[in-house]
Amino acid sequence: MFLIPCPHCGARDEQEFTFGGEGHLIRPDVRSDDETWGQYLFFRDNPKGIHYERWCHSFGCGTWFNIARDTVTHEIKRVYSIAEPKPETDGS
Amino acid sequence: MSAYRIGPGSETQASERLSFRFNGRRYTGYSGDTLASALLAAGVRVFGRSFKRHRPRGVFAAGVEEPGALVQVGSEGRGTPNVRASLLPLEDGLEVRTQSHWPSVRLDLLRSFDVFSSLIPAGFYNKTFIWPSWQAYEYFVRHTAGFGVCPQKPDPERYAERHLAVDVLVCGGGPTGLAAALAAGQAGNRVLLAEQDSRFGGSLLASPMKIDGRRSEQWLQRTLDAIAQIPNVETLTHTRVSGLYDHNLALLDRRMHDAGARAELISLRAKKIIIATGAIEQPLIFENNDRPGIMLLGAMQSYLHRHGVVAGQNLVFAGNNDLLYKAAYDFAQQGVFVKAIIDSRFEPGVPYKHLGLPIHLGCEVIDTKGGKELNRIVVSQRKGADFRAKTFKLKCDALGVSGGLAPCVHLASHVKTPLRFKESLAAFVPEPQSEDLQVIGAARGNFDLEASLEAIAKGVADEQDAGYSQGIGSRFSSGGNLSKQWVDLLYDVTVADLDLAIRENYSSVEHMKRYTTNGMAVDQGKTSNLNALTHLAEATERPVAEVGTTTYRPPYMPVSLGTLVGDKTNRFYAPVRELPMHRQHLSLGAAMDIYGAWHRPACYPRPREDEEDAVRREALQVRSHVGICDGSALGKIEVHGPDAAEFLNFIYLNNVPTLKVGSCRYGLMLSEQGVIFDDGVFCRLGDTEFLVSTTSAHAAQVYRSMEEWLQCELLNMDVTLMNATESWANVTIAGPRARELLARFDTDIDLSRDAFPFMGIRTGHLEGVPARVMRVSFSGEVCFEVNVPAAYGADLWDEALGRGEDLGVTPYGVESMMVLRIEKGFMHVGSDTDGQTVPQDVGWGLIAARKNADFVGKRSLSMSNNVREDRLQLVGLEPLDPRGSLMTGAHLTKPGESTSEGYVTSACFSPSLNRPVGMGLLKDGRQRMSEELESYDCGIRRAVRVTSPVFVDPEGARLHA
Repeated sequence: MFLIPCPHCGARDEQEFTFGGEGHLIRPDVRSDDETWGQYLFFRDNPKGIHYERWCHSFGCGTWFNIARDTVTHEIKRVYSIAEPKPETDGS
Repeated sequence: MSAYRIGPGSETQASERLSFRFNGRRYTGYSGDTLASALLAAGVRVFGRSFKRHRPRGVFAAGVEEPGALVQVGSEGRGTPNVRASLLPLEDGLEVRTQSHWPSVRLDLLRSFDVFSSLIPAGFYNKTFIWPSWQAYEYFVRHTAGFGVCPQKPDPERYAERHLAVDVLVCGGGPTGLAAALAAGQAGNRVLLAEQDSRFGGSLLASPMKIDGRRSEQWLQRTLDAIAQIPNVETLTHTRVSGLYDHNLALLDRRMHDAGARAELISLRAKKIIIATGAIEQPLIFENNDRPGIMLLGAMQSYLHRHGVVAGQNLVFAGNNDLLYKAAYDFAQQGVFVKAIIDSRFEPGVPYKHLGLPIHLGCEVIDTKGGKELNRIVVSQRKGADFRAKTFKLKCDALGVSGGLAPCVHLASHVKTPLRFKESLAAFVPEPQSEDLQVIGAARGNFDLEASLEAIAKGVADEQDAGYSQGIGSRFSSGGNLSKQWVDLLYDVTVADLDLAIRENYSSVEHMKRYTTNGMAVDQGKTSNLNALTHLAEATERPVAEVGTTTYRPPYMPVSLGTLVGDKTNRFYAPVRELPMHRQHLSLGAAMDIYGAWHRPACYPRPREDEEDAVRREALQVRSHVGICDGSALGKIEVHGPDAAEFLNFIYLNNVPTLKVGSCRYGLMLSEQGVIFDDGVFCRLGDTEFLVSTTSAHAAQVYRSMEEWLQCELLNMDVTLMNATESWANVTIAGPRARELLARFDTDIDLSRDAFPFMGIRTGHLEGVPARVMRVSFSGEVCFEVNVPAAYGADLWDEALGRGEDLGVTPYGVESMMVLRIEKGFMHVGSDTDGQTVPQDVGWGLIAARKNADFVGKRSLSMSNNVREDRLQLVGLEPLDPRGSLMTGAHLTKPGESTSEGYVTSACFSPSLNRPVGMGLLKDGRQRMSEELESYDCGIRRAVRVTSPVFVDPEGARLHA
């Protein structure tokens, strides 16, 4: 079970959080073609290494936020606000 | 009678005698004994039978690694199978039985499996029990195999649970663990030291030595005293770290005796974890190496020192390393002289001549003799390349074997610490990659204790390359009958089984393990994994490092389900939500059921009335008079802010901004895939204030989803959400006399038909209490959903029943409500829709198409799969026979055919129409009105006709009345 640093409440057990999947997805325009919309709906990254994802502290303050997590070691490299763009480097 | 006691040992007290029963026979032992030591001292050799071949099994070890002496303890609710005799503290009145035999452990007729063992090689089950099916053999196989029995009654014991956060967790209370805990404690850290044994000291208890020139007993006492002085160090015995998990989470299993609970589960988060779990001695492989009387060398030392028990009259030590000489010296110090030492190497790494006993160098044990008990060993002498140049027999009733120590890497492996094969130890050692995980002492492969203690005292890494000065020999004897050479004593895996697996190309460690079941028994291969993969490496001519090892996973030792469950049983199993009118329902005799997380009344059966009768009566009463229903479980989400209308317009498929203040609208919410996610009613309380009423089941998900859209995607919108579901009680008043009943309350809301039409919402007061009243309906009747603050719900309920008595008011439950809505053709999301249903499937295609603005799921509605013509569409279904209700889930087929074209989603026997009605999802259903089909359920076919789903009041006169 992860120990996740909520930006508002501090480090808490994973069971207080809800996983929101990959972050920084761009919702295509309603006029986009099937291919583009299908990519948005169904296709996700599955990297060995840094994964950018969003979590909600649902059994706490309710805040949604982004984290950069190493999928090999589960080390949480960075926690940043939902409004921030995807970090350029490895997240550290 | 071969084993005997020479004295009390360091832990047993001869003054306190305990009486216990083993297979019904009475024995006595000392306080401080384990079951193993007490029975050994009493001359018992056979403790059980092996799993597959039913060979006799004795005590092989003195700790968790025990693969032989597994017993059944206690009975009924307290019964526990597979208890290691070596770990079971002796108690007065203890009842123990042996396992895996029939009819008795001395005379096991199933031993015939051993005689015909060549017929049951590795993979036997996979190859044999396949025709006609595994089930045909299961009874017999389960009867002959099996490790004891599960508890047959509910467990009467209690279990505790604790959550902790510490700076440092030290796993293991041996010498290095104690030193590490002391150092961490003195540095001001909050420390927890967990030791699985009944006392601290680890290897020192079984094999005392000199530390700093002093006896290790003194060092131990001094260290424990120093730790006791530090208030920030908690020390626990009987406590096993059973698993390590991500981000330094540890689960500890603590056995408690006479402390109000049987065990305690400690869930702990540590900033740093120090693993000091020591090493496990590995066995030797030779013919008949499983005979009772053969024991790990270190176990023999443990029984000697801790319990004063000597394993036999004629002791012989055999091995491939220097531990043999230390042990022989140890025994001599206690006045016990070993008959011979057999070392497979030609040159020991320690002086040995002074021991004054026969030492056979370059020799190995190749066979043992005896019936159920060892009495002779066969030894071979090696000359050059000829391993069996000369053989001779030795009288021996207790053989101590040592294949060297293997670091106990399990915990490190739980958190994916890389393991490196160290040739000098012929074992794997962990190499931690992170600073918050440290492995020290023998667990790291450092067997020089004084050097490890020095490193801890100096605060430097414990990484000297200590091994055996003259190296370590092979653990395998040369040649012989390989089908009599045991690798896994518990699951009866021999070298021949491993070879068969390799021949059949199961030559990866993971395949070999599963094919032969080596290491898969309850001991998880603590004494068999390493030998198996060493053999695999040799047989396939690969280095051990390349063969690798299987992954060790939690738990390190089995944890009883009771410990994991704690007190979360029965009514504490899961939280339940009770309605504000819960007591009212109980006093009305409601049949309560669980819907989602809520306890809700299904219906209110009267005396001598079953639930079906009650549902029928309640539904009829609502249609003819008036009923009240507790709708408090409906979700109530407040949406406020300047952008509230725009926000909801994005969330709902419907057009929201056109909704007038004081009005409600029934709407659909979709997922981004276009699938119907929830339906409900949204109400406009003001220009910038909305109330969203969701289904009872989805309130939490709808709220969470709305929050996600607001916080993550619609950052510019000024909207605030509040989930007020539990703040309001909802009394739903439905039926032709609903208005008359509500009018009997003092209210400032105009209830007349013109002032308060269908799909209106009014806020005001009822008997002076704030109220929100909605004219919506899930029954098809005139209906007022009256919301008052939750604390007033019970009063409103009682008053409605009292004031409406002469109007014929009845309470009605969820099941009656379901009958009413099916009669009216109102769909229930999740029943009449599935994970693929899009709006056009339920007749909402036009409404969706007319909305220009974007909304959640809009783009998906035009994806090719969602505009196919043969999609399942919602229709009504009428059975042509008057028998009872259709079966929900029954398939719909063309008459006489077997291809499913859809299925029944909702069905009931309509009390108003006195015939069964239902709804279903049917391929291209709306084009098939009046078509006759069949419903098919478990072999029963019934003719049904496709209809409109609205069976009662299709023109809506009753609804708008």
